[in-house]
Amino acid sequence: MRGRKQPHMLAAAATMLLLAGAGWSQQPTFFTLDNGLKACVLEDRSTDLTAVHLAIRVTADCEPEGKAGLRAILQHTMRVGWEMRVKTDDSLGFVADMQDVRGGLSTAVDWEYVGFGYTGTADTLLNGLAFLAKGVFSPEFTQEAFAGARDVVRSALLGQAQPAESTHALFRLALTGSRARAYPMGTQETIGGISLPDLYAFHRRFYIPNLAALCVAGPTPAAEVRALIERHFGSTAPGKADLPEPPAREDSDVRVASNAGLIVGGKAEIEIASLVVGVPAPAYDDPDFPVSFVIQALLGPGAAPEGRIDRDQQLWASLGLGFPPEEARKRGLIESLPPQLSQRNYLALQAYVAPARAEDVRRALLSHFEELATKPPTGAELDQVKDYLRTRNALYFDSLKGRSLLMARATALGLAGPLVMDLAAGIDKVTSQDVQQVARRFFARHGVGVEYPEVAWQ
Amino acid sequence: MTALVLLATAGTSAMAGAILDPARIREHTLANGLRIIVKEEHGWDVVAMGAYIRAGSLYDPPEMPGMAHFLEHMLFHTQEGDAEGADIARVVEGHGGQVNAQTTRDFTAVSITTAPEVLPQILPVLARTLLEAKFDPQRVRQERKTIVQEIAERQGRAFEVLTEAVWAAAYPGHPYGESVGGTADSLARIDADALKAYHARFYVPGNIALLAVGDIDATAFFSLVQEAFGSYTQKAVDWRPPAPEPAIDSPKTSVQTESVTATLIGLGFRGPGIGKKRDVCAMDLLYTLLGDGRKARLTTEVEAQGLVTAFNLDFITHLNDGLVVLSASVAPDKELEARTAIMAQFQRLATEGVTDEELAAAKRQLRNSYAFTNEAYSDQVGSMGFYEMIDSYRFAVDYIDAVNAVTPEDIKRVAAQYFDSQKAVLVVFRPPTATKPGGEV
Repeated sequence: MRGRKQPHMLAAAATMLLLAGAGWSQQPTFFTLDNGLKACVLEDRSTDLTAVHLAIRVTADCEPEGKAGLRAILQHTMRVGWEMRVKTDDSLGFVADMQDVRGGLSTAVDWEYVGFGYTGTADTLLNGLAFLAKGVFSPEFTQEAFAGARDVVRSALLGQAQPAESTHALFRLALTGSRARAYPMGTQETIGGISLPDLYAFHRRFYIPNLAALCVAGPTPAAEVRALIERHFGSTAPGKADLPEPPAREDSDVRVASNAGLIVGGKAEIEIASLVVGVPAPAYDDPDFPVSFVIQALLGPGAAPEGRIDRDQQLWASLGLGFPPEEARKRGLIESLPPQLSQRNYLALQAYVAPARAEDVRRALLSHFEELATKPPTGAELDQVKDYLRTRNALYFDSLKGRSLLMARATALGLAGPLVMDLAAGIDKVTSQDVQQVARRFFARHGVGVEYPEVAWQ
Repeated sequence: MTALVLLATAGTSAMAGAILDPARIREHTLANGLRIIVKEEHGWDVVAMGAYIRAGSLYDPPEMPGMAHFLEHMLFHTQEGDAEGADIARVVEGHGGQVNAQTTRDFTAVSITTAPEVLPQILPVLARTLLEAKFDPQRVRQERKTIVQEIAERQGRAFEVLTEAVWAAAYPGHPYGESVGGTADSLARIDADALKAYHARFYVPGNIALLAVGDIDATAFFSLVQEAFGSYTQKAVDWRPPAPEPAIDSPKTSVQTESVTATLIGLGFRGPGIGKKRDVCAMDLLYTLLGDGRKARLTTEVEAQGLVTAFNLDFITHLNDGLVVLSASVAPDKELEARTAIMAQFQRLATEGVTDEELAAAKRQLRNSYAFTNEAYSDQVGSMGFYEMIDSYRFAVDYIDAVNAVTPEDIKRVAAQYFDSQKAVLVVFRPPTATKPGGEV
C-alpha cells in the first residue's frame, strides 16, 4: 500500500452522512404498514446480495437524565444476546449464518436513531426479516448479555479516549449543552448507572414500529419484499410515539467570549493540544441544510482539495508544531468534520496545535466561518465545490449496504422523499447569498473543545 | 453461477444475474498492447477503475527488494512540467473521487473511483502518471524516508512480522521470500536511476491492464483510453522469471526470542499457484473449512478449547506457488500442545477428508464471501484485476463454477499434497521470559 494518510479519526468516527447523488436510476418504493412502520424497497437486479437496515427514531434526548449510553447498552445487549444464543436457539440460526460472512449483522447508535442491519446473499432475506422482526421488537434480555454489553461499551469508550475524539465530545458539549448529544455512547459513569429494568422500560417505550423504518435493497422484486415485510412486521402493535424535544442549549461552565462555550480537558499522555472549533448549522429539516455541505467543502481542508483553509498559509504556519505549511497539510493537522444528519447539526474544524498557539488558532479557524457573512463564495469557488460534491456524493452509492443504510435512516427521519432524494439537487441550487445568509443566521455563536497536555493546562 | 440454486432455497424470487456477468463484460486491446476490460453497470452514477501493472515484488531486482513498492510511492509525486498539485491524487480527489494504490508480490495497482463525467480529465493524468513518471533525486530521498518510517512502524505489528518471517523461511533466495516493502538497507540501494530503469522496463502499455466497472459505455470508454494512452509506443517487457523456488523437502523450524507478550506460532505450507486452478479452488475451500468463521475447525477444535488465544489463516493465490500461513498467539505454557493440535487439524483433512455436508456448507460460505468480495464496483475491479495480473480476469468470472466443481476427493488429495508435515515451515516468536516447552527438539 502506498503511504497516504488515513482518513482522519474524527471524520471516520463522526456520523457518516450519506448523500444522494444524481444517479437514482432505480426508484425506491415507499409504503407504510398499518402499525406505522415505514418501509422502503430498492430493487436492484445487478447484485446477488441483499442489504437490510432497520432504523428506529429513538434519539439521544430520549435517554433518561444521568443514563447517557442507555441506547448503546440496549443495542449491544440485543446483539450479545443473539450471539450467545446462537448455539441453543434454532430460530437464531440466521445470526450464525451472518457471523460466518464478512459484513454480517451490525448495530448502530447515533444522535438521532438506533439501527440494525445486515448484508447477506439474496437467499437470506426470508430468514433475515423474520429474525429482525422478532429480535428487535420482541427481544429477551439476559443478565449475562447485559453484562457482556456493558463490557463492550466500556471498551469502546476506552478506545474513543483519543485526544481528537474526546475534544470533539467536549466541543459538542460546549455547543449544545447536552450531555446526551455530546456522549452518545455514554460515559464510564453513566454506563455504570444503567440497570436491566431500565432496558426493558426503555425498549417498551421507544422500540415501536411507528418510530421505525425498514429498508431492503437487493434483487428480490419490490412487491414480494413488501409482502414479506407485511408478514413479519405487520403484527407488531404500535405504541405511543412521544419523542422528547431536543433540550435548549445551556451555557457551559467556562466562557471565553460572550458568544462562545469552551470546555477544557486534560490528559497526561498527550503531548500536543487538540482543538475543535465549530458553529451551529441548519438542521436536517431546514431548507438550508444543503448549504452545510457547500460550506464544509468551501472551507476544507480534507473535504475539498483547495478550500479557503487550505489556502491560508499563515494558519498552517501558526500551528507551532515545527512543520512547514505544506507538510502540515499533508499530515492532516487541521481537518473538517462532516455535517451531521441531526436536529443539532454543526460544522466544525479540528486542529492539532502547540498548547501555546491554541488561542491564536481558535481565532483563526473561527474567522473562516465568520468571514462567510461578509465574504461569500465567488462563482468559481461555488462551481469547484459543487463539482467536488457531485462526485463525492455519488461515491457513497458504490455499495448496496450504503444505499440501504441511507434510505432506512432517512425514511425513519421522514426525509427520504423531500430531502435525501433531492439533496444533490439542493446542493446544486445553493447560491452565494445562501451561504452568506446561513453564516449570518447561525455563526454568531460557536463552541470550542480543547484537550491540553495535563502538564500544560494545569 | 448459482442463481438457480439460491432461488430454490430462498423462498423468494430474487432475479439477480451473476455478479460478474460475462454478458456485461467487454475487452479490448490497444495497438500498443494495453488491455482494457469493462463491465457496464448503469445502476449508479459511479465508475471504479483500476490500472494494474505486472510489477510486484516478484519483479524486484535481486539486490533491490522493495523496488516495486518504492516506485508505486513515486507515482504520486507531481510529474515534471506539471503545476504543483497536479498529481493523480490531487486531480482525482479534487473532483471528489478517491484514489488508492497497492503493491503485492505479483502486481501493482492504482485504483480510482469517481464520477463518469470526469474521466476525460482523469485518464490523461493517469496515463502520464504511469508512463511518464519522473524521478527527481530529491523526491526519491524524501520518499525513501517515508517508506523506511512505514517499515519501522510495521515492526511493531508482531503478527505481520511473523507472517513475513514465515514467507522468508518458505522462500529463501526467492523474491516471494522478501518483504514487499523491502528493508532500510535494500531501499538505500535504490536511487533515482534504478527507479528509472525499473520503470522503463515494466511500466509499458503491454504490461498494463485498465479495468473499469460502472456507469460507462464500453465503446466510449475504449475511445477515451485510446486518446489518453494510445500514443505511447509498445515495448516488450525485458524480464526473466527468477529460478523456480526449490521444493521444501524437510520441515524447517525457527525459534526466535522477540519482544512479544505471548508466544506467536507461524505455520506455513506451500500452496498451489494459479497454474493449478482446481487445486486453488480446493485450497480456498480448505481455508474456509479450517479457518473462516465460527464453525471452522481451527475455531471449534483449537481456539474454543483454549489452546490459542487468537489465530489467523491466510491464503492468497499467486502467480507461482503461494503459501498457506497460519499465525496464532498462545500462552507460553501451551505452545507445544497448541502446535500439535493445529498440525493435527491440517493433517486430519488429508487423512479423513470431509463429508458431503461439510463441503456443501463450505461452498455456500465461499459463495457468500465471493458475493461480499464483489459488492461494490471497486470490489469487482479488484477481483478481475487481481486475476488478470496472474492469469486472466475470466477466472474471477468463472470462479464460483470452478468452486462448485470441487469434490470431496479433491479436498482430500489437495490436503494430502500440501499439508505435509515434512514440508511445513514453522516460525515461533517467544517472549523473553518463556521457557522452552518440554519435549521440544
